[in-house]
Amino acid sequence: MSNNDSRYVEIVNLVKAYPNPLGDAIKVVDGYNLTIKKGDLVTVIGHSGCGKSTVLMMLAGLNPITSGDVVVDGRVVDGPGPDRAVVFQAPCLLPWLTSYGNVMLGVKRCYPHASKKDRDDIVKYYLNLVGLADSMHKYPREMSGGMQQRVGIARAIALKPKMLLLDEPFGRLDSLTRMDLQDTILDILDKEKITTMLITHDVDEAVYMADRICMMTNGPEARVGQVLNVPFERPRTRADVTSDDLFFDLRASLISFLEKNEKTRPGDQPAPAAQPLDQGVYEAPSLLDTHAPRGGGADLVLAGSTSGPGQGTLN
Amino acid sequence: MFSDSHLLSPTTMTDLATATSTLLGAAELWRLDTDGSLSLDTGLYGSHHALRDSAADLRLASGQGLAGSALAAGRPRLFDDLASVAAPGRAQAAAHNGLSAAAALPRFHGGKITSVLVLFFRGGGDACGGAEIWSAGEGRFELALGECYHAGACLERFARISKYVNFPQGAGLPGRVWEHNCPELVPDVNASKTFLRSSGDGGRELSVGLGLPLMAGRNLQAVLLLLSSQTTPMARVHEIWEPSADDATTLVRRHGVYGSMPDFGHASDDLSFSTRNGGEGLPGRAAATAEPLLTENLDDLGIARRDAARNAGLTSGMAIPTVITDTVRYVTVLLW
Amino acid sequence: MLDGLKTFLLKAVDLSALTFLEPVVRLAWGEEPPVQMRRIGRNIVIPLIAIGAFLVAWTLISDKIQTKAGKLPGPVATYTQASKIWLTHQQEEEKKAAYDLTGPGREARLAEVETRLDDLVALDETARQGVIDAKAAAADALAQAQAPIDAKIDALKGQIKTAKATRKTELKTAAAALDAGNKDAYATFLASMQDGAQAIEADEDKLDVLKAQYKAVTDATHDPLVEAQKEATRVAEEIQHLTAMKDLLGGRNRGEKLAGLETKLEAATAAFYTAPGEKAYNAANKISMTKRSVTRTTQANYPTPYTLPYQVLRSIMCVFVGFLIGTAVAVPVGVLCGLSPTIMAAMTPFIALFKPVSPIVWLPIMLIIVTGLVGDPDNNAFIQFLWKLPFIGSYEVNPAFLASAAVVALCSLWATLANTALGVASIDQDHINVARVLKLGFWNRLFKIVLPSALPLMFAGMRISLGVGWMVLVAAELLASSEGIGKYVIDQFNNGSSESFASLIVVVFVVGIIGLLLDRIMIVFQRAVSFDGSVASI
Ligand SMILES: Nc1ncnc2c1ncn2[C@@H]1O[C@H](COP(=O)(O)OP(=O)(O)OP(=O)(O)O)[C@@H](O)[C@H]1O
Ligand SMILES: [Mg+2]
Repeated sequence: MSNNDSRYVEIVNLVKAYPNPLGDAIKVVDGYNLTIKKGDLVTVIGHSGCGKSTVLMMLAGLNPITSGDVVVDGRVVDGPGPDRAVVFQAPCLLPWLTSYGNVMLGVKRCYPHASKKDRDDIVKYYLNLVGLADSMHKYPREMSGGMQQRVGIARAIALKPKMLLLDEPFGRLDSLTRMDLQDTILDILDKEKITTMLITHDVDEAVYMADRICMMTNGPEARVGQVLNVPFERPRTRADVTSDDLFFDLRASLISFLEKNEKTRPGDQPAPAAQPLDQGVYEAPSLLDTHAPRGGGADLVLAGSTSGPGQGTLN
Repeated sequence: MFSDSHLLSPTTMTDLATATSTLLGAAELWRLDTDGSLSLDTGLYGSHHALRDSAADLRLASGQGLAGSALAAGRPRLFDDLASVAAPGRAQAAAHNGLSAAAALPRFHGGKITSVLVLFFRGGGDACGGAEIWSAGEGRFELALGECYHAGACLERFARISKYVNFPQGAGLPGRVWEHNCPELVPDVNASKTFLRSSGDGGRELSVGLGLPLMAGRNLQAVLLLLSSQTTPMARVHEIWEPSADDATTLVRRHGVYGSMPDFGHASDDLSFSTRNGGEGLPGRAAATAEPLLTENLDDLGIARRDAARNAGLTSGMAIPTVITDTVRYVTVLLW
Repeated sequence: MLDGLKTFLLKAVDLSALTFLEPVVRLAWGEEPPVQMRRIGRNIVIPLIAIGAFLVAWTLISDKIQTKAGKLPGPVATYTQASKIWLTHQQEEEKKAAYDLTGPGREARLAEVETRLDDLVALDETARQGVIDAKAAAADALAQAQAPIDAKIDALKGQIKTAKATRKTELKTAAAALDAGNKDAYATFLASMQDGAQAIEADEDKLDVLKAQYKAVTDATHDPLVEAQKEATRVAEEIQHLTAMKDLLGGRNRGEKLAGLETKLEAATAAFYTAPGEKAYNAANKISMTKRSVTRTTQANYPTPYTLPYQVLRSIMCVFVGFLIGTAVAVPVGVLCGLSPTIMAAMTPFIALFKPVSPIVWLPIMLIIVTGLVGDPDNNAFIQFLWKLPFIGSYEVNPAFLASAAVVALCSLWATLANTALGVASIDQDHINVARVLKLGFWNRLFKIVLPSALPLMFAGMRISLGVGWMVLVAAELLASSEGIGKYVIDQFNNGSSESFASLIVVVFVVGIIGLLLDRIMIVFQRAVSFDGSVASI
C-alpha cells in the first residue's frame, strides 16, 4: 500500500470556532487529527454535542473550516463536492422525486457523458444494491424511514465518492431495521471499498462496523481522544463478531472511555494545587502548558513518523 | 510530631516489607566505547547478585545482548523473553532472581548513541504492572503500542486490548507526553482523566503511571510507560524534577508520588538541587552530565531526606534526564 | 375490477379536491355505512339544508323589498331570468350560425324555420285569442268578485247617510228643548252629540275596509290571464326570432348576399363590355363598386351580440391574461427576492408601497398608458396581430381589455411574489446541502432544487392571486367599459328595469360560481405539485 493510500484522508489540526456573542469565539473542535487508510471504515463516537457532526460537516465541506486542513486523496478540501458523499440522520431526499429520480440526480451529475441507457442501468444497479428494486418509482412519502435512508445511501454511493460520510444514518430507525441497514452498508462497502466515516452513538454499531473507532473527547475543544483498531476480518458476520470475546473487550473499552469522558467537563478539572493532593502525591502548581506550550510539540516530530521506525537518528 | 512517630508504627513496617517488592528489579547503564562496543558503566542490582556477577567484564558488540540490540536498532527495545536476546548466562541469572523482562533505552547525544540504559523488570508470582513502548502507529498522528511487557495475570485483558489502542497527540498518557515532550506522572490511573485506558480495559489493579519521552535529539522516538500496581509498584518513589523558573541551574520538584511513604514525601518538600559544578545529588548530577545516573548512595537523595530514605528502606536510585537538543528539561527520579 | 374502479374514483375525488364525494364512493362499496352516512350527513346533507334555508329566506325577504326597479327578484324570478339570458344567448348563436350557413344546409334550415313560422302563426292566433278570452274571463271574474262588495259598500253608504240625517234631526230637536241657563242639561247634550258622532265614525271605518277589499279584488292578478299573456309573449318572441332567422338565412345571409353581388357583378361586367363609349365610365365604376361590396361582405362578420355568456368568457379570458402577465412578472422577481436578501431588501419598499393600492386607482393610469401606447387599434400592429390569433381573436382585444388585464396583473401579482419569495427563501437546508454536495450549477440548482421545493407555496400564492384578480377584474371592466361582466353589470344598472335587476342577481351567482371554479382548478394544480401529499384547505 502506497503512502498515499495509507494516508488517504488526513485531517490535520482541524479547528472549528463559533462566534460567541458574550466573548471569545468558542472552539468547538480544536486540534482534531486523524488519518484514514484507503478503504477503511472509521466510526466516530463521542458524547452528544461534542462536535462529531461538526467535524463531518467540515470534511464534507458543508461547514467552513476555521483552521487546519482536510486532505482527501492528496487534495485539500475547500467546499463540498460529489467526491465526498454525505448521508444524514434525516434521509433528506428530494420529496418531489421518486427514489429513482433522487439517485438519478446524482448519477447525472457524476456521469455527464454516459448514455441514457447507461445511467438508467447505474441507477437501477445501486437501488438494487440497497434492496429497493421494487420501490424504484415510489416517492419518499410512500416509503418508510428505513427505505428512505436506503435511497439516501444509494444516492451517496452512486456518486462513486472517494469518501462516504455518514452522520448517524441509523439514528432514527428501530433496532431491527438498523441492523439490517448496517449489514447492507457493510456488504456494499465490501464490494465498493469506499473510505467511510460513520458517526454513531451506538457502541455495538461502532465496534461491529469499524476498522477503526475514533473516540472523541468532550467539547469544547474536542479532539480525538483515543483510537481503537478493530481487527475482525472482513467480510464480517454479526454472529461471528458478537460472539468473539474481543468484541466485548473493545466494547467495554469504548464504554469506559465514554464514562471517563463524561466526567471530564470544563470546570471539573481539579485546580492545580501547591500542596500535596493526597497522601504521598505531590503536584507542582504550574500547568503543563506553561512549560511546554501547546504547539511547542509541533516542531518535535515523532522520529518514527518521518524516518520510519527502526532507523532512529543513529548513523 | 505525633503523626511522624505514628509512621514508624508496625503498620508502616509491614507496608515497607510488602512494598520492597518493586517491579523494577535492577538497572544497568552501558557506555559506548570508542571501539563501538558497550561496557557496563554502573549497575543497580540490590540483592540480585547473580545478575551483577554475570555483567562483570562483559563487553557487548552492536546487536549483542540487551543493550547491544537497542544500539543496533537505534531505538528503545523491550524484551519479555530475555533468553533469546541476553548475553549468554545473563538470562538465567536474571531468571534466577525473578527478573523476566527488560527495557533497553539508548541515550542520544549530538545525534549519536552514547549509552544504553537497561531496566530489568520482575515477573511471576504476585507481580502486576507493566512497561510499554509507544511509538508511531498506523496513523500519522497516533501512537501505537509497540513492544511491551505486562506482568501478571491481573493485566491480561489490559494487555490484550492495549494492542488495539492508538493515542493521538495530546490524548491519553502517551499522547500527552508526546505533545509536551515532558515526562508525566499519574498518581492513580483509574481516577485520572489523563490515563484513558484502565478500569474498562482491565487495568483496575493499576495505580501509578509514569510516561517518559524517549528523545533522539529534538525528536521524540517513543514514549515509555511504566505502570505500577498497588501490590508491585514500578518503584517506590516517582519524582520529576525540572529547572526552576527563576534559576535554570537549580532543580525543583515538579511532581512526586510517594505511595506508602508520605514522610519521605514531606521530607522532599522545598528541596532543590543545584546543577552547578558537576551537580548536586542524584538529579543534579544527572542533569549536569545529561546522562542517566544510578546510585546506591542515599546521600545522593539529599541530606535532608537521607534518614527518611533509610527508615523507608530505600536502597537504589535512578535519575533519567530528558534532554531536548542538548538541554536538560526534566529529570525523572525513581527510587526503590 | 370493481375495486380498481373504486380506487380510481377515490383518487379522482382526492385529486379534484372534491372530498365531500369521498363518503359517497365509499358507501357505494359498502364500506362502514354508519361512518359514511355520518360523513355524508355532515358534508352533503347539512350544506343542502343550509342552501334550502337560504332559498326560503330569500323568497320571503324578496317579497317584502320593493324598489323603484320593482320587487327584489326572488329565486324563481332569478332562475327565470337566467333561463331567459341563456335562451337569448342560444338564439344569438343560432342567428350567427345562420348568417354563415350556405348551400343545402341553409336551405334545409330555412325550410325548417319557415315551417315552424307557419305553425307559429296559427299558435300566435290561438295565443292572442287566449289572451282576449282570458281578459274577458278575468273581467267577468272581477265583476263577480266586485259585485257583492260593491253591494255591501252601497248598503253601508246608505246606512251611514240615513243615520247621519236621523241624528241631525234628533239633535236639533233636543237642542230646541234645552233650558237656557241649565248648565247640566247643556253638558248632557254635548256628550250625547259626541257619542252619536263616534257611532257614525265606526261605520265609516267599516266602509274603508270594504273599499280596501274592493281595491284588492280589482288589483288581484288573474292567473290564467298572466299565463295566456306569457304564452302570447313567448310565441311573439319566437316569431320575432324566427323572422330574423328567416331573414338571415334568406336575403341577409352572407352567402346569398354574395351570390346576389356576383350576379350583379356579372351583369355589370356584361353591361360594361357592351356599353357605348361614354357610358363605359359609369359601367366600370359600377363594377369596381360591386367588387368592393363583395370584399366587404366577405369580411363582414355577424355583429357579436353582447350576451352574458359571451361577456363571461371574455372576462375569464381577461382575468387569465392579467393573471399570466402578473405571474410572469411575480415568479421571476419572487425567485430573485428569495435567492438574494439584497434584492429582497431592494424590493421590499416597492412591495409595501404598491400592494395596498386599489384597482380603481390603477385603472385610469393603465388606461392612459395603454391607450397612449396603442393609439388607434385599427392601425396598431400588435392589436391587429392579436385579432388574427385563432382563439383570442374572437374576443376583439382592445386597449380597455388590455388595461383591465394590466390592472388584474398589478393587483394580483403580490400574493404570488410574496409566496414565491418565501418558498424560495425557506428551502430545507438539507436540500441545499444536496445541491452543494452535487455541486449543481445555478440553473440546475434553480430548476432541480429551488423551484420544485418552492412550487407548493408558489401555487398557493397563485391561487390567492387568481382569486384577487377575479375580484379586481369586474371593477376594472366596469370602470374601463371593457366588454365583460363588469360592462354587463353597468349596462344592466343603467337599464334599470325589473328584468335587469334580476339579471344583476344572476350575475352575482355567475361571478361566484366562476370564482369558485377557478379556485378549485388552482387547488387541483396546487395538489398536483405538493409533494408531501398534504391536502390543500378549501
Ligand atoms: N452554528 C453554531 N453556532 C454555535 N455553536 C454551534 C453551532 N453549531 C453547533 N454548535 C455547537 O457545536 C457543538 C457540536 O455540535 P455537533 O452537532 O457537532 O455535535 P454532535 O457531536 O454531532 O452531537 P450529536 O451527537 O448530538 O449529534 C455543540 O455543542 C453545539 O452547541
Ligand atoms: Mg450530530
